[in-house]
Amino acid sequence: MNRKHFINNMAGIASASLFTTSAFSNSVLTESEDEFGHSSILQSAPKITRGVSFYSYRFAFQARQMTLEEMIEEATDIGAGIEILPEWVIRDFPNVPESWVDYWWSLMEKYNATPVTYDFTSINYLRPGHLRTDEELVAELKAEIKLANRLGIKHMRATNVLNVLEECVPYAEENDVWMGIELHTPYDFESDRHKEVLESVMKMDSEHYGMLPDFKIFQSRPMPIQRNQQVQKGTVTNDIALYIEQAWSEKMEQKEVEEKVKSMKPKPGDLQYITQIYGIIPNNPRLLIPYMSKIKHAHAKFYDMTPDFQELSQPSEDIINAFKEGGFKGCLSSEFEGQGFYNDVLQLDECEQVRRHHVMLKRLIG
Amino acid sequence: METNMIVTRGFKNIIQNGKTTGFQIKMMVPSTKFIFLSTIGIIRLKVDGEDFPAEIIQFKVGRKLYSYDKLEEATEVNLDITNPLSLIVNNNGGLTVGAHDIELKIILGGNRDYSNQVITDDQMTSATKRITLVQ
Repeated sequence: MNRKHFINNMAGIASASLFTTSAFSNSVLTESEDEFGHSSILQSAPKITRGVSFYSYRFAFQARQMTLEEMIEEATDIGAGIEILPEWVIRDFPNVPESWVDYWWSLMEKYNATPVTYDFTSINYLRPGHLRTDEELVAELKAEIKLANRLGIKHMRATNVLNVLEECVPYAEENDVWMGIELHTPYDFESDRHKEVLESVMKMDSEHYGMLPDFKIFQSRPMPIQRNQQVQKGTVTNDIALYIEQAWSEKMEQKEVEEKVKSMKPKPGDLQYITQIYGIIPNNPRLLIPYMSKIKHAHAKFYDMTPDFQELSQPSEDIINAFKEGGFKGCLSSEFEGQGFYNDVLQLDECEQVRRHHVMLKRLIG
Repeated sequence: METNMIVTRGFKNIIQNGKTTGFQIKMMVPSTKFIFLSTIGIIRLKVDGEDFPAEIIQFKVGRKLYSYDKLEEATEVNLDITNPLSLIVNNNGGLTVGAHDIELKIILGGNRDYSNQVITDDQMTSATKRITLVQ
């Protein structure tokens, strides 16, 4: 199976599935009217699709409980597109032989899978003492844009200095790979960094350059799983932690909370918990609405899905409504990162967490 | 299931041409991001309180061995997060049969440079484990 054969097959499948309800129905003719009397017709326009970053399965993958093939199978079983971290799943990365590319396409065909996103990770100090030059970073990014192209992947999570990304925009256009600057916590829409990102994206004005928000930047509530883990370990006092969370929600000054907690016979972890909670910056997702045309992919980061399919630390409905209102036409890719909050890793079920997340996504995307 | 940076399996003496020349300890690199061999900045190994300096350790990836002074050239050696990294420690006679207390500290480069700094223990990722050597 080679890439050309696979693409021809996929074209046939897409035509046949014009009115299917799979995650990849991307030709939809619907008319809807909202409460304000605004109507919209989505004509042959992609719907929001669901994806899963294989970062979500990293414990299972690292423990060899899931192979690359098994992660692909699981993703397609839940109707999700695929987001890969190439340095994990490609044994000889960055030197990728054509035989591996053929293997990749054989898996795509076997599972009728859709590759969606490539996570690019750049390392500033690949060698101790040697800060990589812009030339080295540009060469690296271009090589990985080409690799994404070979793998049929159209979106890339980019992390890099802005001038390096800007220099690679023409090459991304040639290879039809969209690069999204990840907006990742700690992140503040009021910061100079965000202004620089917006300026860069608007200045380049390219269909292949934009932003990729990670949902953790919209965190609006403390995470119960984070508190519970520390309480179970004995490093944090439950009542003090709840007081800190309440104080934060009421916008009490951090210094005032620190003084109060010091009078409560705290453990050292209780004072550190103040820093954790007051580090939450609840960015308003609606502030991205004017820029939604520059967002083609998002990391739907989550930490703990409840049995009734909720993520308690984020305003999930508000986030997705903002994306819908902005006309987002891309993929929301689950990125589970709650593994670190399990004291007993044997209780961890990454597949179940992602599945619960997708039930929520299906409900909210509509 | 292995959850410690120090891996139990693979802990053994190394025998070459009938002589015990050292021992092997395996470790999971404590990063899923900086997974190229060249990013290993500083490594400190103690067994039963005894220091084994990085200069006498060879790093085995697949079938290839890399000495500590050659690590910085290994910018394209992918550590493979599913397979632990083998530390082959030069030590005539190896270790005795029985339980040993292993202490491992490591700093990975990546987004910070530690090459010209004095590094304190609390800046390093560390793990301790008691594991049994059989032969």
